[in-house]
Amino acid sequence: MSRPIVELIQVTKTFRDRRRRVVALKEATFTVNAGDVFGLLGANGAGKTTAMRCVLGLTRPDGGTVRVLDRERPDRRTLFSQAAYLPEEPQLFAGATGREQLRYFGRLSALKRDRLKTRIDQVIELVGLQDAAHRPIKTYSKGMKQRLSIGGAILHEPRIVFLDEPTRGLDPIGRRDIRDMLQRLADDGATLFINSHLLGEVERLCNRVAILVNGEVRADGLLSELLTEDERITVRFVLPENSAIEAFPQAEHAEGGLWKQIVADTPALADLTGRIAVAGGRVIEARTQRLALEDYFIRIVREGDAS
Amino acid sequence: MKTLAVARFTLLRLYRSNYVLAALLILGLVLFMLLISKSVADASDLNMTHNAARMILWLLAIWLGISVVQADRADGTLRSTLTRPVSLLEVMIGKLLGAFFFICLLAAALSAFITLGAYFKGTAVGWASVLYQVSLLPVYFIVLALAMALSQVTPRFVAGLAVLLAWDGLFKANVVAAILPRLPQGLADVFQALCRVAYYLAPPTSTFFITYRDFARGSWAVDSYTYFLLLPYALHYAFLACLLATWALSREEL
Repeated sequence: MSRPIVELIQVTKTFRDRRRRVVALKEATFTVNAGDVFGLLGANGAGKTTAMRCVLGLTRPDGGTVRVLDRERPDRRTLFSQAAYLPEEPQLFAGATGREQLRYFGRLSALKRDRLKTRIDQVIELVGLQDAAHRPIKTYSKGMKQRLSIGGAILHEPRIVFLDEPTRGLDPIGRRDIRDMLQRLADDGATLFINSHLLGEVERLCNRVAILVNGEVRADGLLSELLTEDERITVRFVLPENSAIEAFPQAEHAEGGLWKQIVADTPALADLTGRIAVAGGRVIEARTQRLALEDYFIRIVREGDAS
Repeated sequence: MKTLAVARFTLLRLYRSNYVLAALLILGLVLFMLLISKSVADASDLNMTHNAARMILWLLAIWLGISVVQADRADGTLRSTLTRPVSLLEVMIGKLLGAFFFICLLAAALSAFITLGAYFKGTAVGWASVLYQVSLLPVYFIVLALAMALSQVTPRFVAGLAVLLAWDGLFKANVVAAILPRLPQGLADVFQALCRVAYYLAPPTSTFFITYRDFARGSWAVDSYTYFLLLPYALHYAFLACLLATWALSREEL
């Protein structure tokens, strides 16, 4: 079993401005294990960035416990020697070339000269900037800057990479490039902590998620388990012409003269197929449908808003 | 190593900044014209040019000191630096050194301009012209450090300049003499003691300056005892500035 690499336990954070108090995190608790691709989901303003910043020590929580890399509140130097952070906007010096920027990041991470050169070449290839590495960053597109930032983040081979909205503001091609790159990192065994509200991407990339609603963690766990909780079985069947459809009050017309009914679980399926047999009908198809993350997310957010 | 990495990148930033390159070009042009404008070549001409250069570099050092951290903060590169395994103190010392290297390059360029101008005018300057600018480098370092410390209080060049000028002005003998009689006896003693402590803790930058004329005559060795304290004071200021900047940044949420 993999060990927890990030643990948030009952973390609270409140921001104050002159007129009001804004609760950014309310007793937030979740865990990220080594090797996970973890997605922290939430609508805008749900507290995702605050949670990530609390983990990184960039924001001081008001209460609760934050454990990262087996330490409670590690000092910045120790933390960033084994972790990397990619903020929402690429933060690079526009006048430097891509290679110069990477060299700077590598030197700050105390990479030795030979190792630094090798890693820069590897990273430039990984992020696909071979033709642009010698050009000033001001000539890069937003997607290229983001790829360079990710390259800078993984240069020193950190144990965990924190990415805050990594595909924000990118066009579909740029988004796919970033997603492919993150997938390659995940395949290589890196632990990724991704903040996002782009659910399709999270569903493709992440194996574990937590959903924040107004600063509260409303769902947390393995994506496969969370979505299985809401699995539904769609049954398509035919009935003889003279049979009473009233016996199937939840059935709907489906294409091809069939009837369709959705059941929640196997006992309900058994009950339905029994009744179909009694009515002289026949089951054509019974297909398990996993809930999409988007549907699950919307349900959780609505429940959260309602409560 | 990490400090040097920050210093090198700071130097690169300044070097690639068109604003500063343009300033250097104008600066050199003005000085060159200033030097060749008079028909008669003499030492007073050279003295005036050196003093102008000193003033320009003094202002530039204040501007650099104030903007060197603020520019990084504005474009977010300060955050990308501080989310690496590097301490705040290493970053601050690196920034200070990077800005200082840049001033050194400017001083070298100015020195070359002036020497070249003097050569074309037929004024024999020898090494004095170059040595004078070299001797001023610790002063620019002090100004840079002071401005960097000030930048944690105000990011504005004009405000920083005003504070430095006020600090310089406060220690003028006539200013203190004008203030003292207006104060009650007890308070005057306290004020005088505070002035003395403040003077030794952070002497005004003008204390360290010497004119080219005095330098060329060699009178600096006799006249200005503080001149011998330049290097210790440069280190003292750098320490104070880096400590203050580190403290200010550590309290700030990035």
